[in-house]
Amino acid sequence: MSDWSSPAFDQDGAGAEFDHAMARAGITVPPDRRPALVAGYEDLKRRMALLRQPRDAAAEPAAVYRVRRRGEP
Amino acid sequence: MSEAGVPVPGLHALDIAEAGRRLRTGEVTAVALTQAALERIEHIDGSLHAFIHLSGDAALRAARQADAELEAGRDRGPLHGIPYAVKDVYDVAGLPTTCHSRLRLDHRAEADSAVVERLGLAGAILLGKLATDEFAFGGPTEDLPFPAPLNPWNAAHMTGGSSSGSAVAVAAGMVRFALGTDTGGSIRGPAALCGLAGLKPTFGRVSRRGAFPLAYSMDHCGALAASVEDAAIVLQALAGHDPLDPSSADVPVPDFRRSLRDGVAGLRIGVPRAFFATAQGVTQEVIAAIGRVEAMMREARATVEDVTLPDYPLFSTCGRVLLTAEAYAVHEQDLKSRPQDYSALAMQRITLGATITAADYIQAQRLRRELAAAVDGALTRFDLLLTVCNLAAAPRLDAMPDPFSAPSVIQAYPFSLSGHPALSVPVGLGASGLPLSVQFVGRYFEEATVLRAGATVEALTGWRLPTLPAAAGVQS
Repeated sequence: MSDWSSPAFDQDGAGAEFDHAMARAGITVPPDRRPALVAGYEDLKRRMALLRQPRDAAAEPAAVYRVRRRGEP
Repeated sequence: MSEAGVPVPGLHALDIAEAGRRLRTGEVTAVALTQAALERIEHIDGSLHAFIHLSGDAALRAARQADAELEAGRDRGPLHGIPYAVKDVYDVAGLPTTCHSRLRLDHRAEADSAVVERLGLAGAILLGKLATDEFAFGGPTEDLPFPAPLNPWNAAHMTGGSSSGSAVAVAAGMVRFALGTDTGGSIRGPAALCGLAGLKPTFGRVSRRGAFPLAYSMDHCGALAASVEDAAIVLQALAGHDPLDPSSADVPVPDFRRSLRDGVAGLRIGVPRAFFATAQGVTQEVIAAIGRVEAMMREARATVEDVTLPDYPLFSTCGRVLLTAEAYAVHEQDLKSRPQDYSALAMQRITLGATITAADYIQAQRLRRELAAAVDGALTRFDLLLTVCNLAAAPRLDAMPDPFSAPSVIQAYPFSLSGHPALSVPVGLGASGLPLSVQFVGRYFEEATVLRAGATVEALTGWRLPTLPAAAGVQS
């Protein structure tokens, strides 16, 4: 249902960051599930660089929609 | 029912309008429609696995009441006496809402969800609850309490998710429509892969009360249906303000069927071609299919032009971050206390939310604002957007051996994020004999225009859902 792709490497840094996040959240990750989770974490971190680009004030995090009538600018 | 008391064959293929006509002339009864559906389910669902829970007795009681009401002159409208089923994320009073998860096998809902309540008032007959990807976020894996549904077109291929059971039940003719949910394409995707009309209404159009959440700010409730007209009839019953759902919009509900036959003459249609033209995994037959639809629209006197929107990866990244963070918020406590009860895939996807910071989430919401404004801006110049839904026909299951690294075949996030209404509609079959679809997107609360375009495509392509072979489960 969404685009999940996992890189084929596990950098030590990313693994440590992931373990820290899990410890902070109080989640026990079964050892057999850790490699896939770390790979998913690396992919997510890489993509999240896209989130941090210059934006103007109009990009406030409000999720309110407005109905525009036909012909209205 | 025939005079001999035998269910009339072929009832499963009647569209809602025709079944309704026959109900009102006495050619068929709600009991006969319900019995025919239950018998078809009994006959074919053992190999397809669409249903998790079947409420046959309750359905027949409701059908008898529907018949009695019609006889007494009480007509609840087009869905009166029509069988349907719901994805097992919707509450139905007295039944478990399992979300296809071990974590909720003991759950019992105290009240109906808003959509089940509305369909009950409309006289529709609930047959049961349907399989889903775990919590609408996992996948068709083997470590689940119920088997994953199989594609009735060809069981060796994906059904799509997460409303997988809903798609299979409708495609296999067990029901004419089924409720699904769509957070990142979970109505439109499986509908596209199974040859159905799948409508994600505008955010706020349909109440989400009583639907188990995946991501609060992106969840949409809606239906998968065997035809665009069926989808319009169902939306008519589902739509409307619900003061008990904080995201429900208090806006007028138009007649969604009124303009279905009006064609597309005069409409301006924008094609965000850069989304899909060079996307990884797009197939030539999908490119060709959307090209054929563009030509049909022009021939039907619509204007079709390319439109530029922000790059697709911005949408998919933004959607993924928001969905994952919000899903983690829903599951935070259970992930700590019962991690072993999640399937591996659902656990992986949800757990990643614990790595997303508050700053990440807020940056994603800011980006979402920009992306939604860009889509909405395009819809000031165009009445509709036309794009792909899935980049390919349903891929083979054995071509995707690792669900953790499965590449996306769906492009649904832009309109999940922006909240615009979006419809996937089939346009024919690909080389593998599996359905191909396109996606129409409209302005906020203009589902009628989206449905009108879909009905036009359906008419021009001559698409009609066939009766799929009961033995689909053994095809390869």
